[in-house]
Amino acid sequence: MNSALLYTMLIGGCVLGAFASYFFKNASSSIDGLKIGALLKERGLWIGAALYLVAAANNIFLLRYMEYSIILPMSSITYIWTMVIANKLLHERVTRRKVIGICAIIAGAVLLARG
Amino acid sequence: MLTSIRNNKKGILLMALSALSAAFGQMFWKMFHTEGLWALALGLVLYAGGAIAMIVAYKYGSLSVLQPMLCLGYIFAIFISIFILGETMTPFKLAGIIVIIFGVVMVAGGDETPGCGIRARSEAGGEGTL
Repeated sequence: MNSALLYTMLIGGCVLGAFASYFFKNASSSIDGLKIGALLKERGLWIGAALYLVAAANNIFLLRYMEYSIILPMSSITYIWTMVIANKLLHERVTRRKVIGICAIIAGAVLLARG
Repeated sequence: MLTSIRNNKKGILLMALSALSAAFGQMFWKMFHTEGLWALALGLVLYAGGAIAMIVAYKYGSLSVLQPMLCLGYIFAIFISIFILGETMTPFKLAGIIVIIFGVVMVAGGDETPGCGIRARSEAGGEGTL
């Protein structure tokens, strides 16, 4: 398969995974306490679950064509998208420590993948 | 830094539990071919349990702190592969684990303001900074 398409799918999967987390966060923060019934009625839960499943299926598909040593560190790009989404949509602060931490996690994933 | 860890503590622990559960779930899926259907079913239960822990975790902290905690799954997977599946530890894996743990501590301690997430949006003044 065209490698540009594969990398596009990989990065696209990371974006979907990050948005899934955003919708999960929205759903769980919208309910009082831990009422399962109320959580199940949250639209965000189902949108998040759908996005999560698509991102997982995308990853499983990509594992057929790409090395795990590429996919593992690249999938940690999800954390960058999460920072952007958390900042833009939830107005959370992206501090220097968070940026350093994410860079370290990605570097660690690269090292693990080199194994 | 400690304030951030304290504020997100419950969420961080639930995220770690989620990552651990998912890592064991994947291990059982890998064992499915040799062990049979029970391993597949147990893997599914653990994976689903991990997903539920993750969703609940988001109630107890910032998205930007909690979601990266899932990378602990990389470390759990390495330990499972070494202690249960009999693979070997290499200098790269060891270095990777140390660097990831450093990253996790930095992100966990990354919130500056007390309270976080959607409910704290108005308190935080709606200002995001990079």
